Amino acid sequence: MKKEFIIAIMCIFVTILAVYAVIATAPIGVDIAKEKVQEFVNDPSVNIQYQNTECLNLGDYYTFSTGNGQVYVNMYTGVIERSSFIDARKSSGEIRLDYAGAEMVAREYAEEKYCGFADMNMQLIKSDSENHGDAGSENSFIWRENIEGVLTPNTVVVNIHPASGRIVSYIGIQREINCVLEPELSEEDALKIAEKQFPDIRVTETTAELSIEYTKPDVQSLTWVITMKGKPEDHVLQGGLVVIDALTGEVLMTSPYL
Amino acid sequence: MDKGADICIGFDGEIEVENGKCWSEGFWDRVRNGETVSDAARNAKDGCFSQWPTGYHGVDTYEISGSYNSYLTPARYGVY
Repeated sequence: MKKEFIIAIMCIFVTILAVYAVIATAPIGVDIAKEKVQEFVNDPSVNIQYQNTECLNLGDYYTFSTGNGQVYVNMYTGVIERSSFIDARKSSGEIRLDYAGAEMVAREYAEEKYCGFADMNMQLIKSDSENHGDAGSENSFIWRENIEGVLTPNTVVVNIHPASGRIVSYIGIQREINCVLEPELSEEDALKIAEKQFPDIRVTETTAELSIEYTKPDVQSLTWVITMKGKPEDHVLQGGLVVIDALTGEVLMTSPYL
Repeated sequence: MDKGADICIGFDGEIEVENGKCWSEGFWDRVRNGETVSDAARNAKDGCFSQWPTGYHGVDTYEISGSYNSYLTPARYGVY
């Protein structure tokens, strides 16, 4: 009797686990995703329309038009991982943020929209002003999580229109890390491999970052991401971008400058 | 612009082949689907960020001259 009771309990437990696994791996559906967009934009007057689905190595998305931009919802988690806001360029009384002010606005937005931002080791890896000519300019802030010198996919991008002080676009990627963080290939060896991809250039500048990348759908790989600039020939820039598997030394991508 | 174009677009930074292709495909896809030149350029840029390797890799240095809020429509017969 006792044995049968234990087996029954185990069966129930396994069934619960199986149901949970199915729910966890099933898409949330367009209707729930639409509700998530509504919560994110926080404006009941916005006309949210489903556009399509997009499948990237990083994840699968439902995309929605909000009339004022576009929103990408992770198909499985329901998290808003990308959004843009067209009306950000409309200046509201010429606020004209200075750079420190823009960074403060960006950081506050990141903390509001990205779960756990303040508790993670998010490193500001890029902050600059991009001039898009007649289309105006943007102040761009990029944070990436750094674990023991490795840049993870956990990333926040906030672009701000300096004249209006409003958010132009946002990207927030959050993933569990499930690959090793210790490279088999040293930076020096990675640079030697990268140099072989551009054998005829005279190298003037290199950068190398240890980075976890989704090189295949849903697969994290520890990589060396290397940019290698060479002395221009006939005014044409030499070198390019090389991505190398940091465990095997395999060259995953060689992309010369145009 | 002095040759009579309404809109010109180019890059101020270094662009390599893979990210150039990514941006170009995204831009033309979006323009075809009714986005303005400016919105298509910006959204294509953000689309490339999420491809591997992570980052803009120069596609955020686009510059537009002229009617950046215009739509591109294919040439057709008739009076519009």
